[in-house]
Amino acid sequence: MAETTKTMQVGRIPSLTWNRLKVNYSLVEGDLSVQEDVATTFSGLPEGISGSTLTQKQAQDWLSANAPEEKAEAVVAGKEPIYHPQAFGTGLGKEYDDFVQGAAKSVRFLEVAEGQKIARPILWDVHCERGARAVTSQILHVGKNSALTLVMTEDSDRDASGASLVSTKVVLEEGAQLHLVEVQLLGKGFLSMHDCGAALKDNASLEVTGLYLGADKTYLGTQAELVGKASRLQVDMGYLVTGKETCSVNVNAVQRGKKTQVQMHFDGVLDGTAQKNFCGTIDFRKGSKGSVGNEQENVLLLSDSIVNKTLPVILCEEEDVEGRHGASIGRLDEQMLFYLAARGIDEKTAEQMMVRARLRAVASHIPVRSLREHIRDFIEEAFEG
Amino acid sequence: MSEKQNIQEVDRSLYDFKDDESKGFFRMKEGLTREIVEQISEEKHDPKWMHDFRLKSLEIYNNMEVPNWGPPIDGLDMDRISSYVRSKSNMKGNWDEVPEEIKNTFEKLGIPQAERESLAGVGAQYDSELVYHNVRDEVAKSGVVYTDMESALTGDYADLVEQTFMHLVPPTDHKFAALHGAVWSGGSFVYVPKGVKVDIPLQSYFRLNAKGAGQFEHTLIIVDEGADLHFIEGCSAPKYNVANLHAGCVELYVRKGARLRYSTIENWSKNMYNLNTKRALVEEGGRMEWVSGSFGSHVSYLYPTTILKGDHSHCEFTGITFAGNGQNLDTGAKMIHIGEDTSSYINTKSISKDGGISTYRSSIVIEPSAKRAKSSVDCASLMLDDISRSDTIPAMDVRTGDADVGHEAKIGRISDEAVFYLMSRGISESEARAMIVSGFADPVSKELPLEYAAEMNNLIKLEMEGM
Repeated sequence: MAETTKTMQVGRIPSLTWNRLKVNYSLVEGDLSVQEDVATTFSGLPEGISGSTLTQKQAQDWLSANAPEEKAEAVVAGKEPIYHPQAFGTGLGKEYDDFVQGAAKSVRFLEVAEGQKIARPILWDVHCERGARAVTSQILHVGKNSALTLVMTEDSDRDASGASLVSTKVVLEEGAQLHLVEVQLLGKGFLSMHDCGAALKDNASLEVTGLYLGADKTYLGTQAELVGKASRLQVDMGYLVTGKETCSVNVNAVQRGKKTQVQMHFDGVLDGTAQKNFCGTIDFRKGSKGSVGNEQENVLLLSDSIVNKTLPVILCEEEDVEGRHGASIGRLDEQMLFYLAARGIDEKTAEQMMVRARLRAVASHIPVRSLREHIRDFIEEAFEG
Repeated sequence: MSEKQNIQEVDRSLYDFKDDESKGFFRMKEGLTREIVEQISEEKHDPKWMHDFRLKSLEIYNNMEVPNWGPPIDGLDMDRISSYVRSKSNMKGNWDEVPEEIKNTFEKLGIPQAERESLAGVGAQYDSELVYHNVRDEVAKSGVVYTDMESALTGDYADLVEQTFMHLVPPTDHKFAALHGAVWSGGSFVYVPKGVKVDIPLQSYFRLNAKGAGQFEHTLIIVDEGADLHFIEGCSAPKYNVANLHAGCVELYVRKGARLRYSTIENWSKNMYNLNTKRALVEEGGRMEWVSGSFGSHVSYLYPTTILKGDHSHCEFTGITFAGNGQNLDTGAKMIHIGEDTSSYINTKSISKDGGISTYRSSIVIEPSAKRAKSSVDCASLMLDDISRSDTIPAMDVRTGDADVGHEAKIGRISDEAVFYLMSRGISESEARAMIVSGFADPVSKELPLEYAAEMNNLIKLEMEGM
């Protein structure tokens, strides 16, 4: 299972810009060896869901058969190729995907049969031991008019080191709904990589709630292809990057079907000498008439030594669409600080209140109370640290 | 409302007249070699430092790659571009002495009339050289220097030119900056002394007549402490069936407490590769204002850059880009905040129609030293049909917590409701759509002097004709 790559290029953005800004992609450097293929088994799955294990070949064959179709004629001649050269596009891209395929022997396959509304969230907890170097690969297939909530939590001891590499591919059939929750509470020495690729058919709906609060180096990527008409994507993501931590995020919403809807909201907090690189893309392809895409990133800066890079992109080759993106980067509003100071709340306490408020607003989308409490404790511990 | 309207190509007859190149012109052979650069240097009687600078730039050019981002420039073959074309006439200070054919060109473009009516001074460049330069007596008496770059290289301000020429845009900046360093020719030098406020604008007009030629003018403006200037740049060329290249360079120094407004209406022909570089350095309390209208060119890479070095310095960029059939216009702005309490504001509009591609690209960099910096970006794009393309790629790089950066962008089409509202008041659909587009461009046109706003509105009207 051991495999080491010194440098990996991940999160390459769909349309490149000036190289000197160093936002076109992120480089993962250092030890990328993986020793453990996390063989999660699901017990007590409710009726209508089946869990199985596929070989890599079986998994890739299944994905190829279910991948969104490429329409090469929609690519503007001469532009930097805006389509990932992957059979099934993901946010971190081909190099990471290939690496995971080589490192993970098997792929967990979770399938919801047609017409099944699973009321109770499925919990998928991965506890990483000290020094663990794990890879987790899964496919989620939600059948026609079915609904599922899947909550993936990774954690470890706070001072632990290691690596956790996750790959998730999602196929939502007509009218399917998936609420995918990702919570990362790894130790301060961890490399965390989360990659997701999703294909949405007619009227399908994907809600992604992500909270990334731990780890030393975090790389996040999501690519959702809204192929079907009236398909919907909602992303609510929160991150806390402190100390010397780094975080790199690349989210692409590719709107291909008619009347698709995308709402993406990112809330982040940077402190210490943290570095964050965020790219969010709304990509209106030809044929996406009547579609709407909105994206907003709010970043709270708590230190003078941070590096925050934000690149909100809109690509548009369709007339009848509405796209909007916004970004707000800075300290706490002075008027708010004044208001709180007038009530005896000092600046540090006010900052902590705002951090809690921002991250808990994301956490409020998580339908598991015990996990929300766990997140609250984790944030409080971070303050104490 | 669903019926599609015809959109016609712009009537460019105003700009498309061509002069006969065979009469009285000197043309350097096509291509880019050391011999050609040496020959240009010799033709222009360069001082030694400039001769060496050109050769160094050529070396840098030869070792640099073309950008891996932005519109394709495969159609640009330097082996088919002549870097230097000039009239055999010298530069004149009186329109009457300018050769008849060249004078007619500028008469048709309305330059002498504009000079008489509303300008403090005019420079007119035809292909690679200035053919006319003049500044009003009262402006010259206040100490304002407005001359061609070649004269500045050897005149009273030679030392200042040597200390500033391509210091803001070094040849290492990118491949076409290096190209410019090697073969630059023509352009203007402006110096506004301390405390002098030039009430009416100076203007340079660049005309590229020669087929398969490049224009590489260099504009260097220094607005000294407390001074104030509005500089206007216009450009056009007739359309040919081979590529032409414009790789000019503009370097602007805005000293302490000074203000400079730099307005451009760019209307190159649609066979032009416009790979232009503009950069301003603003010192303490200085104010830089860019007003930019991009209508012409086949391909454009244009991102005026402002370095807010001094504390409390400020920059505003207001721009519009209109990409029609066969055009791929990649435009935007860059702001680099270094000083404390610096502020910048970008407001841009992009319009795409008839298969045109418009890309708004920007970067806001807040350096660690730029405490309490504020930056705001507002960009809007309008798609007029479903065969065009519009992209928005704005980057923000913030390296201090003590900053406030905001960004808003939106993209959409002309609202059916707005068209319906206007039609219900007796306005035809085509008029209604043109009115809405003019209104969309209004934040830019209102920043221009009246006659240039009228020209811009006329260009928009021409582009929209038949809708």
